[in-house]
Amino acid sequence: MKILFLLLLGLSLHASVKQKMFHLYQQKNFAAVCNKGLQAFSKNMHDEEFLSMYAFSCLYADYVDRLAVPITIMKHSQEARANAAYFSVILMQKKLLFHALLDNYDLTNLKLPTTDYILSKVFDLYLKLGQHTPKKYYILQDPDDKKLTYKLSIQKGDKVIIEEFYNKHSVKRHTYW
Amino acid sequence: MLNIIELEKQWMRYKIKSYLPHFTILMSLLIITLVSFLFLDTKQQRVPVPEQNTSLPAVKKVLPLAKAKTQVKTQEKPKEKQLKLQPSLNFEYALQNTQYSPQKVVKKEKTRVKEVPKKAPKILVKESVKIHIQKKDAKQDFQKIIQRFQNSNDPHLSLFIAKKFYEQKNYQEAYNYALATNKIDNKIDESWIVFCKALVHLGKKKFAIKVLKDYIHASQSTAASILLSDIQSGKFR
Repeated sequence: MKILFLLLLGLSLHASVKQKMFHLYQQKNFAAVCNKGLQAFSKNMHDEEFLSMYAFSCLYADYVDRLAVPITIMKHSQEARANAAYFSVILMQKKLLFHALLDNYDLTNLKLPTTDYILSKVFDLYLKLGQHTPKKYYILQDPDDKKLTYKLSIQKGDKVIIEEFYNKHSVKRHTYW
Repeated sequence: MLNIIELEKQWMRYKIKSYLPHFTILMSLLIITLVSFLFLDTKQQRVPVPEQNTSLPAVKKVLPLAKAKTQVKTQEKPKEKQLKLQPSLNFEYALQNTQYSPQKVVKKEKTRVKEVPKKAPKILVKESVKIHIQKKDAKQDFQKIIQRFQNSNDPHLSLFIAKKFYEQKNYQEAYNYALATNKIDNKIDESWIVFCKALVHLGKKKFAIKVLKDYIHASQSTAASILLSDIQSGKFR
């Protein structure tokens, strides 16, 4: 009887964490969802809905490094595998961009798949620059929207900053480290 | 006495004579094949290599060929399309429609364990059935959310409802719920944006611009200024 009670209590706690996370997700408080997901990760790592919500929240909150673990676990359904591939490309592009910006690594002849995520867009635009002398920052123009530009820069030697500008007004700032 | 040495010599001559026609046929065949290969090779080599003792016009003849080759290469480049990966956000709908009773969670875990070893097409059929059921639930849940808002007056709920109505192109209801949200909390960016977008769709563009200008003046919201420029330029209709 006690075991059954504990089991039910455990399951209801699991559900409430997921429910709270989804409530925050709907409010677009992605950083909070990502942090809550990290705390409850070990208990929910076999739940693919939880994994997807956690991974997308971390992505939208620019905590790209946290995608590494979900990428390895998300493999039991078609949707999970598609998302794992999507996250892998973004994570790889982030690492390559770091290597290129901090160590002047040449990415000219690289051909990778792309995504709709901001980091992928900037990565593709950076590749189009070809061989060039390293700069402190790069201003990259969106090919689809002329009013939209991205400023790519390095901060304190270990952070990559992507700033979105619309009509020269700063709209959003993404920090990756 | 038999002369064995002489006999052996005769036997040897006989053997050589008997093998000679076979040998000659084989050798001739080999020579023919070798010669034919050499002949073909020289023919192939002659086509692309221009002669060294050529005059200027001959060089000019070769140049267009080279140009054509480079053109082909440059034409090939735009054909290479970059593969674009798309995320799958079905989990949002699934989560929206699940009510977290413990029994349901247990059932879900069981089905997931079963899905792994089975073949892919079977899983696909199951998933499609699930989506159909979820659509029915989504309507019921939406009604529940409206009821919850009427009881609690939570601005986040009304904003969610306004957005949903906007997605369904029910702009009048989207306007009503966005207005209700603004009355409860007038500092939510998204609510003002949905409100103004709905106004534009209802044919009140001038009023939407006026509202946006006032809101930008009060909050200095970048998202609102983007929407304002889009409406004024005609990009947002």
